[in-house]
Amino acid sequence: MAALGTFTLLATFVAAAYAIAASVAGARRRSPRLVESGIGAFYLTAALMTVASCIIVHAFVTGDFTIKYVQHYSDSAQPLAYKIASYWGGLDGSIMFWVFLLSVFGTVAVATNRERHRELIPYVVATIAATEMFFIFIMVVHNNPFSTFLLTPPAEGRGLNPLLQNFYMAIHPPSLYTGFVAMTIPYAFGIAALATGHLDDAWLRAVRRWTMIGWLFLTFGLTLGMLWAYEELGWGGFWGWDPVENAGLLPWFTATAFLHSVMVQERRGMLRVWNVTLVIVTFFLTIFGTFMTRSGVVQSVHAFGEDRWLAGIFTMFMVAILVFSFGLVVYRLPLLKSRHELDSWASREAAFLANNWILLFSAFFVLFATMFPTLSEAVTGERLTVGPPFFNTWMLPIGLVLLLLTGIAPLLAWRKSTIRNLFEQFTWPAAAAIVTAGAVYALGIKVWASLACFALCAFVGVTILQEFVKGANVRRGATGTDVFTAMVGLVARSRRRYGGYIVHLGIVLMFLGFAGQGYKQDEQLLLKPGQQATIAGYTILHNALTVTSDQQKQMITGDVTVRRDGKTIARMYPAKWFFDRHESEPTSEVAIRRTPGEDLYIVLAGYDVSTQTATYAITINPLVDWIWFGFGVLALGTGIALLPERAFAFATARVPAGAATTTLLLLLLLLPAPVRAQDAAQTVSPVERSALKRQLERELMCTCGGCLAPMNDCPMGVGCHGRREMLAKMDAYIAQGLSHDQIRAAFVKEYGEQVLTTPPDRGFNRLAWLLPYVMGATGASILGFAAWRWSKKDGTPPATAAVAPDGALAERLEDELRDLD
Amino acid sequence: MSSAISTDAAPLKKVRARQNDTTFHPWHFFVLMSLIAATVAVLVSRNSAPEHLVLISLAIGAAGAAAFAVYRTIAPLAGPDAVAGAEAISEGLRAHLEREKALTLRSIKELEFDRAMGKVSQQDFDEMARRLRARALSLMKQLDDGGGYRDAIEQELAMRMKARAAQSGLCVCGTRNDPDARFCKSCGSRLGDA
Repeated sequence: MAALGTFTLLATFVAAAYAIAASVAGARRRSPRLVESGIGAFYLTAALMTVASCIIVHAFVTGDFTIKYVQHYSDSAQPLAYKIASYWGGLDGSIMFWVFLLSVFGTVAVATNRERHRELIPYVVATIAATEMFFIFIMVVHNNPFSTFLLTPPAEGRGLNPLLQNFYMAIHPPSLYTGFVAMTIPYAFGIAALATGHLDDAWLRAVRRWTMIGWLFLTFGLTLGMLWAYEELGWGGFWGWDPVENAGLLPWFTATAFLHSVMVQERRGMLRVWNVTLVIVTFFLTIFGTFMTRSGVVQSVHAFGEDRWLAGIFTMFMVAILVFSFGLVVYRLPLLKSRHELDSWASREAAFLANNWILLFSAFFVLFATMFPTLSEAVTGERLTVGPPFFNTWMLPIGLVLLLLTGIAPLLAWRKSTIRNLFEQFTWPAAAAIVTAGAVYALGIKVWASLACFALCAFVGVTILQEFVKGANVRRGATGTDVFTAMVGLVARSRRRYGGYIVHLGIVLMFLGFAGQGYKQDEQLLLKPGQQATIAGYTILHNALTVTSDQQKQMITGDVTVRRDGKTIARMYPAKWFFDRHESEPTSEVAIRRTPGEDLYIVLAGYDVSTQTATYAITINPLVDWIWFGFGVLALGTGIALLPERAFAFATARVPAGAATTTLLLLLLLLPAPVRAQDAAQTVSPVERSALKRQLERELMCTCGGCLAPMNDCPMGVGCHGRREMLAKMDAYIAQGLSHDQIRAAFVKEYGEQVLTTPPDRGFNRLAWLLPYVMGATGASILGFAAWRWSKKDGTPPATAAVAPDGALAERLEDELRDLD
Repeated sequence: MSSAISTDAAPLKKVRARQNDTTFHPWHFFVLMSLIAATVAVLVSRNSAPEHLVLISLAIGAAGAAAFAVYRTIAPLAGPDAVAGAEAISEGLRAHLEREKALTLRSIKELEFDRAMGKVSQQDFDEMARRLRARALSLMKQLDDGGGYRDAIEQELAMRMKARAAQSGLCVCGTRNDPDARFCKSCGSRLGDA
């Protein structure tokens, strides 16, 4: 079977090469025969990759351990679902899975657009096939998933990484890959449009659609990644600015920017070069993300390890992409010229420009901060850490500004909003924001970021509501139907606009969840059986500790009763699992009690089986479930926006299905856990941690080498050897009466500067602090300059005054306008 | 929007053709072959776990698809080459004007909606609507002056007829000449001038 697999890969390579040659030659020679043949070969790559995928999955399922990759990432005791998921669990397989997805997506894209964009298709085929060829080349030469053991193969596999044996992890990479891969299609269309010079709005329509699909999958993948981190890593949070997660976020930023700025091109014919650039940059970032994950240039929880050869070949590919794409853009600059005019600063165009600036800044800031450790290692020789606190310093205000813009922009009109009307528009939203801020403050939440976030959420929520209500009223006036029918008609008539608003609503809900993170509580409890402690109103009673095992793993499970106001509300079982052959990396099986208001999140952080003592890390996570729910709303909105204007329904079936599943999942998870009554018990207080210690835990990295997280976020918790050692030292320093700065200095002296979560502000590292300002200011000034130039009226629109009033012509215009409804 | 019309008609025709079509198609053969192969594989397989059989069948199905794709790659090469560039030539300017016009009309609609939503004051609305309407009118006028589709089609047709006439050696007087003749053998006029 392995030989057949290798042969299939080689055949795919040949087929892809033929597809490029035939379709480009066909386009140049204007020979439909050749083009058709090229498209056939392109379909062939998809069919062959499916064969290859079936072969490798078959090998996993039947446990064919003669294949190295299968032996490395699975064992015979694994459940069937994880055997299949092992396909993309390692480097070689993930590349193959990538090509498989790309070929399938490409086939769907070509098959659906073949008639519509006949002139573009040959180049679309060539671009996608070239990307496939690159990845197949890597597989054939360097990372063949079908390579076998030369000598006697082992009788048993090593098993998939335990952290990956989780429901969300099984679907998170495929959806993220799908998002990445789907971004190749808009790029291919963009390149085709540049190559043929058919740069009218037709290609833009295809590109926008595919970007939206890719964007949806990317968002889905990122959300699932958050869920995975939340459920499986067990540090109580969901986003740690890990380089690999960042890699998924980068194209998300640029794709979001594109989806907004493309509207400016559609309405106003502006920003044509910019939009092509965004498509190219988005694709480039997906490849760059793959490169970061697979070449080991950055350290991460789930990177695949260092590989110089891969780094080299990826660099060449990326340089080739940039040179080729931007070369074409420069070549086609004359065709991309457009007349820019900005009527007013208070217009939606201006708001979109600001939105693009912020999104692009976010993308480059995240890129820069992710790459900074590598950069500083290259320059100063010392690898530094850029940890979550550094990201949060910047991304928090940026996120809030973005949220504010989400509220403001929909209220602005294209071209020019009238300021006085604008004030009327803002009355209700602003009032809602102020009331919310006051109410939240009165409730006792005094974190400014969360307060601002809540206020802005209210602001945006009310603007969206206002848009719906006012729009429905206008339509009711025009059509004379009732409000509900008018609302449906409104959404049906301009699906993109109102689908977009629903997406915004989803984003608002997600931000609610982010705001909750500002005031989450975490405590540690050391409990003997029968002891209990109270945290944030929850009384946690430790009943027992059990040790069990199954075919795959040994499990240590804590048994906890949770009571609130004297009533038992849940019985929870946090656990640690030790998978066979992976005993050194136990997984935390978190027990979570979900409610819309807050999650009770219990991790079994430490244990002593002989005395039945357990250490529980307990986190109260307010509003976190709204993030997952927000994604459901977002997917629904995207689905509405994607609805075809005519019967063109390949995307619709999938999208609401995703939304429904996510919502259903959430509802399932919200079901109450089994409840049982329990006796009263001895009460103890949480493990004391002073404010100084909490601050230091945030500022210092855990040195265990595996987690790359600040001490308070180390997923290994109390059991972590590096953290235990550091905590002991920290306690000693605090006991000596050293100040915060002195303790920091002592740690830096011992472990080097990489122990700090944010780079120190001096020498070369000052760059890390300086560059975001420079980038932001540069972007703002370029934007300001462009806007200033566009707002200068360089002559009236052509021939406006020259037209004499013509009755017949004016009548025809009115007719056409009526038909447009 | 000529391209939209010309391309939309094609799938419709295809669907109709497919509905009336009961003949044997190449892909039928490949589906049949993979079904037979999958059945045989399932029958002779030693490992009878369901997931194993499903995967084997899937692999064979994919192989069948691959075989069809190979056919699909080779078949067009053997067929006749259709006339390339048969689509109507829409000159760049015309497409540009059409696009501008569509944009302007949509802007007017948008502006009216925004006005109804109370986002634009009456004064601003009047000013912008006047400007937009003026632009739309001027674009419509330009389009009319530049010749409608009819003219473009007529021109195109005339050009092709001339080309064909030149090729076939048909003279204006109706005499058929040799394909390589330059002058008519009957009236002596220069061929291809018609």
